[in-house]
Amino acid sequence: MKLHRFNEEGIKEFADFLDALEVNPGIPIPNQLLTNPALALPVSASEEIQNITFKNRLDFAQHLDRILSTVTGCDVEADVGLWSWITLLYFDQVCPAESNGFRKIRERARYIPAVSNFRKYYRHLLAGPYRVYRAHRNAPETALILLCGPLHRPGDIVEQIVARQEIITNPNAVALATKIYYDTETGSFRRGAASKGKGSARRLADVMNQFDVTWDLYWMTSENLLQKLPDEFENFRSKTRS
Amino acid sequence: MTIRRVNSTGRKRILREDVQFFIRRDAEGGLGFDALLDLKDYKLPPDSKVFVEAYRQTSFMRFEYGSAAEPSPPSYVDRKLTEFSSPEGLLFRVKVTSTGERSGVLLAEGDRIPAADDEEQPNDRVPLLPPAPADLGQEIWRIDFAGSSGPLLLINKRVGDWKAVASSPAFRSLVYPAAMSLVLWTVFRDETRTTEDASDWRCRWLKFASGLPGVGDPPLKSEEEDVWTTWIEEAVASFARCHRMLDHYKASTVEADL
Repeated sequence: MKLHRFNEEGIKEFADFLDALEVNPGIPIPNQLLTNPALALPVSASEEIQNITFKNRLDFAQHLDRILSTVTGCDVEADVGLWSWITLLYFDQVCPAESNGFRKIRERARYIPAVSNFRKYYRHLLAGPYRVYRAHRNAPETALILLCGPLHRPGDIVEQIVARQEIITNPNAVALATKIYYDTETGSFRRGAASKGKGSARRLADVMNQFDVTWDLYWMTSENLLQKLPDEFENFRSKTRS
Repeated sequence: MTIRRVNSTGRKRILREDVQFFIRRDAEGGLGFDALLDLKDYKLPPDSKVFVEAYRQTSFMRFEYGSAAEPSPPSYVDRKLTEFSSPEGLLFRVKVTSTGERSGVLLAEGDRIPAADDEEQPNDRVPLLPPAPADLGQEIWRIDFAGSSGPLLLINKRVGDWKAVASSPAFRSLVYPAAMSLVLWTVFRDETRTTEDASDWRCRWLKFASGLPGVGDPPLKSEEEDVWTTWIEEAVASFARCHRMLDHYKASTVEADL
């Protein structure tokens, strides 16, 4: 299928579907909107996109980056029509049906990006991982803590880190988070990382916020940062040595 | 358990009046920037390092700018803002970082500094179309050409918060291209049109429009409406492209629905 973007009417139709889903969580996905020429136009003559299943957010971001890197003439990250269309294409993965066949809709910005809202722009379930991947595309494995989850459930750790501009744009800070919270054996978060307690990602964001006042964090390596973490992170720090 | 940000190391705050950034747009539409940094009054260690950071949401670039004693820009090729496809919402930050015993300590910082457009000069910023409130009956906006200093964008003061309306993406995307076209047609009909006298508002508008990507010099010697129609339409289209008017309009309408 050719990569499309919704026009204004297409975005509205998609939003109407989300509204309807809240009332009737069992309604089918309106895939016909994807190719309705009155609602969606091809982004260009060449870009193709397939409805495939992704292992995690990284798998998706890599796949999409290959496609979007050839798109010119628009600001991809801020293209509401494009992301809305892609979201409908992969709707089964961003909003999977539960065992009873019902889907549970969450905050609207997760499906239609709120590109100008600095509190919400990163919450889009597909533009979010794409942005993280783009920001760390030189070494995406160092951002695995933000990209290892499934498309529909990024997790609280992602929210804590991506919401802080000084952290998400800093490769060393993101690498530190991956180093202490990512379990290479399970391919997921370490136990306790997503809690609200000592040494959690929530606390890391607070500590980095304070470090940012004192240190030029872009100057420091992830190892420097690791050594400077307070004792409450010892449990996670010790795991990086093993 | 939120940590309060404490400036325990006495980091200095760099004032906006001491740093200015100017976006450059090359012939292909790519972005770059120039910076004016005046750090001499901050009493910083001469060998401390100066960095300029450009950022917007998850996009970020960092540039080495020499030392506090001698801030020096990288070459223009290395000041290209390749991570940014548009200047909207782009902010700059300046950091001065210790290289001595406490390497990496932040000595001074100026943050959240917006760029001036490259059409503007550091000490010569004259808004081309300043907004002003007015009683316009049931009209929402109108261009006022009565003043000698140039046109005003009048906004109905009964619209509510007229300043918020004037700066809203929906209003800007709907009104500014039309207003630009109206102003340029007024310049065309004026016998004194020139690109030589920078103190004349008509000159400033012609220079602004001709500086947009792909527009070129205005057909000053032509009196044919067709020739001006083409030039003005190109200028307005380029202006809308540069500021991604459609994208901003669509984003604003979608967000209004959320």
